This record gives sequence, structure tokens and C-alpha cells, in this order.
Amino acid sequence: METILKTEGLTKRFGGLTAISNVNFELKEGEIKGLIGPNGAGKTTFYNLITGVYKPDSGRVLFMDEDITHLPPHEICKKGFARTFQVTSIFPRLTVFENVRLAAQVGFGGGVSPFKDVSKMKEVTDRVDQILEIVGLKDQRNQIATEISQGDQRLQEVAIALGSNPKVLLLDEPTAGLSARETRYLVEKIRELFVNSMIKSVVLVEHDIEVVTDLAYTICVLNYGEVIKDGPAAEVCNDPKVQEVYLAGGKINAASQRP
Amino acid sequence: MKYRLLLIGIFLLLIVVPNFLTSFYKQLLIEILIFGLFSLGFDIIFGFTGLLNFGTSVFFGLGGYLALLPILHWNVGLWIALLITIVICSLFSFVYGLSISRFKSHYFVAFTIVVSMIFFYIAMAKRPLTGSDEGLTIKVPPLDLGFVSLRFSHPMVKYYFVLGVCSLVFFLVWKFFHTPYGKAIIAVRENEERARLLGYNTRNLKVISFTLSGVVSGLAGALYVLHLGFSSAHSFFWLWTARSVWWTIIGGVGTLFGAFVGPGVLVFFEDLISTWNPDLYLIIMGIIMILVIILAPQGIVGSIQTVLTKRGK
Repeated sequence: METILKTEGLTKRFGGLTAISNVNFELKEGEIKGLIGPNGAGKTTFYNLITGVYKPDSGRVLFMDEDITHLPPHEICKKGFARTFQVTSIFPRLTVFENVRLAAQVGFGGGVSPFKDVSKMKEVTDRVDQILEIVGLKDQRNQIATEISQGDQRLQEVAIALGSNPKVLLLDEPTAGLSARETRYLVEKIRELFVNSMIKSVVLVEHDIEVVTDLAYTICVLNYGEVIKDGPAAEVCNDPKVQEVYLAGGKINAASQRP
Repeated sequence: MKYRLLLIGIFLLLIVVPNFLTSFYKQLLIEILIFGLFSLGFDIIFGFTGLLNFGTSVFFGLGGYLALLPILHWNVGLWIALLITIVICSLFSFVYGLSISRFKSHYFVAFTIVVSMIFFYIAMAKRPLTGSDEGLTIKVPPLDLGFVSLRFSHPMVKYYFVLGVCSLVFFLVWKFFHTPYGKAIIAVRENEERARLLGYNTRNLKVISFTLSGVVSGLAGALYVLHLGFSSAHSFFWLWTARSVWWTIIGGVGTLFGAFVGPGVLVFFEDLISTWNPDLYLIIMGIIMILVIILAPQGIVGSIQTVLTKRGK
């Protein structure tokens, strides 16, 4: 498998705090990789560095062997990244359909044209309907995005990320705030999308260890901004150092996510 | 769909109705259309892009002078004057937009207010150029349609010309906000950070929207000067900005058509009430505006749209 995303010695400091310290991360094409760590381990900061929201103090981000470290966020995302957000970030006053279409029109229909009528761009509309169908938001298609249930909004977050047909999908705690049943549903959906190759390569940041071990092939563990273990899922879970760090602080967090 | 039929109906009505109006009401309707176009410019930047430009009077005044000065000094025709307005207004608003595109929320608002005040005071001070507060008067050139040349000051000629320009611009802007690019601008209004992380260059989107808004408002300023045959430094005054803001809000922010309904209702009521009681009219106008904002915060058109979509379900 080819390496699609790679970071080399990525470091980011906020004042005296080193949020990300010398992280070497690798994502192979066609795999789901879990990224775990206790609160404040630097997971979201890591995403922000990859997508260009923050610029690293040192190190590089390589996407298909191309250095994208210093590109602005929109150009990085246009290259084939999509991400979801820990705190639901959607377009509040638009319908569910319009929300996903905004993403789909980036990747389909030949660019963001100021001349074509978007409702007549079949490729875009088809893609959106296909995604809504798979994710299970078809019935809410014409509802205002913020008027659907919290769980459905999390699904919508994933649907938006899928819209542009990204090469790399960065999921940031997709199950945050979901009930146990909704979590299982979402995990099944992600698996289904992956099997149908609607999504190709995924990085999954998640508090819920079960979700990660369910989905991910390999897991990378961050603690205080440093990678303490990276490898196949089973090996990582049984590592004493990981258990010490993660189970001490992490289990409580994972438990508190569930009502 | 119902909404579209309603718009077409109103358009047809506007074609027929001046034949039954007195000259005074024809003039009033012309002004309403021009003010509607001006508010449309504001709606593009505020209602669709989410940037409160509290300095739209800059474009209104500038557009007016860009049409007036070439006619006054070089005797150019109507089309040339409008073309000059459009070209220079686009360039100006593009550069202006580019230079303030980094500002956000209240910094943006404050900056636009300051710029509009600067323009007002410059226009007041440069008497030879702008005529200051007494203004400059022109003889409006005839409307040359190629095969026939019409006297522009004739109310019917003026009315249909203004209606034509307003309808065309409205149609183009409406179309524009149905393209992927237009939708992306709406995405900026809704959630700029998210839009950026979908791969949109939000800064460019904002600048383009700002430019479009400036051209539309500038065109309205030019039409207003052609309508009056006169312009003064007061066209840069902040009161014009305030008018475009409340016209748009009363009509319905982010609806495009509301930009025309707002001045339609307010200018009409203003005339009605001020003839009835000139002392009380500003108070009554104020009460009407407060009532609309409390009872229909989405504005007139926004409320109608909500009712129509709810029935449609």
C-alpha cells in the first residue's frame, strides 16, 4: 500500500506549551487509522496542522509525496482532504441537502462555476442523494440542518465531509455526544461506506476505544503531543505503556461520553 | 414555484400599472425601483455574504458622480455614462473589498462607516469637482436605442428604462445566487471556517460579492442622478446607508426581492402619511418599522416565503 499522508517531525508550540512534538505519522492508502490519546494530547491540533489551520513550528506535512505544509487551508482541502469537527460545524440555516451539496460541488461538476445553475448539475445532485441515502438522512433531506436531531446532525457532519469525495477523511470524534445505539449505527455506517469504497483513507480521532478497535487497522497513540506507540490495533492495545497512559485517564473519559 | 409565479405576476403588473398612474406616482414608482436596486446591492453583501457594510452610500454617491461628471464635462451619451459607472465602480469596489477583506464583524462595520464619512467630507470639500452641498445639475442626454432617440425626461421613457435595468440586474443576481459560486458565497455567510475547510477560498468569495454589491449600488446611484438630473455631496451622506439598511430589513434580508418591497412599502407610506400629517409622520414611520421588526423579523418577503414553504409541505 502506498503512503498517502505523512508527517515528518511535526512540532507546534503555543507559548511555553508544546502541543505537538516531533510527530512522525503515516497513513497508508485504503486504511483506517485510529488516533487516540487522553484529553489535551494534541489530536485536534494535529488535524489543524494537517489542514493548514495552524502552521507548524517545524516539520513537514506530505500528501502523496507533495509538501503541503505551507498551503492555505482551502487549497489543502481542495487537494482531497475533508474533515469533520468535534463540535458540530454545519451551515445552520440551509437544508440538509444544501449542506451536503456545498461539499459535493467542490469535487463534482467541474469546479465552482459562476455561470451554471447548480440545481441542474445532475452529477452533484446525484452524489448528494447517494450520500444521504447511505448515511440514512434521506427523509430529512429538505429540513433545515439545525432542526434535525443531535444524532442526525453528527451524521450530517460525516455526510458533508463525504460530499467532495475526499482522498483522505479526517474524522474528529464523530461519536461525541451520541447515545450507545447511535454510536453503533454510526460505526456501522462508516464501515459500510468504507466497504463500498465511498471513503478511502481515514484517520479516526476517537475517545471511545471500542469504536477505534472496531474500525481501525492501525492505531497511533498520542500523549502530551508525542507519539508513544504506533502499530497494528491489537499490539497497541496490549502495550503496557499505552494502557498506563490511556486507561488511567482515558477510560474515565470514554465512560463519561455515554449517558 | 408559487413564489416565482408571484414574482412574474408583479413584474407584469409593473409593466402595465404606470399607464393608470398620475405623473406624481409615476415619479414615485421610479424612485422606488431605484431605491430597490440600491437595497439589492446591500442585500448582496449583508443578506447573502453576512457582511454588514454600513457604508453603502459610498457606492451610491460614487455611482451618481461617475454618471454625472462625464455627461457634464464631455457630453457623453447615456449608455457611455452608465458604462463608465459600471467599469469604474467595479474596479473601485474590487480594490476596496480587497483591502478590507481581512476585517471581521464589527471591525468591518466600523471601517466601512469611516470610509463613507471620509468620502462625504471629501465630496463636501471639493466644491469645483462635486459642487459640494449645492450640487451639480446636468441636462440628461436622450436615450439612444439605435433606431430611435427618446427624451429621457419623459416619465414613461424613464420609467420603462429604470424598470428594464432593475429587472435585468435582479434577474442576473438571482441567477448568480443559484450557481455553485453563488451558493459558496452563502456558505461563507453561514459558516466561514467550515466553508474554508471544504476547499473554498473564502476571501475571494467575499471580495467578489463585495464587488458585485458595489456595482449594483453604484448603478442605482447613477440611475438616481439621471432621474433627478442632479447630484450633490449629500448622496455620500450616511443617511443613504441607513435607508438601504432599513429598506432591506423591512423587505426581508437575504431574499433579493425584499430589497424592492422594502422601499416600495416605506416610500409609499412615507408619502401617504406625510401628506396626511407632516408633523407626526416620522413618529408613525418609526412605529411601523418597529412593528414590522417585532411581528415579522424576517421582513415582509421573508415572512411570505416562510408561509408559502410551510403550506407547500
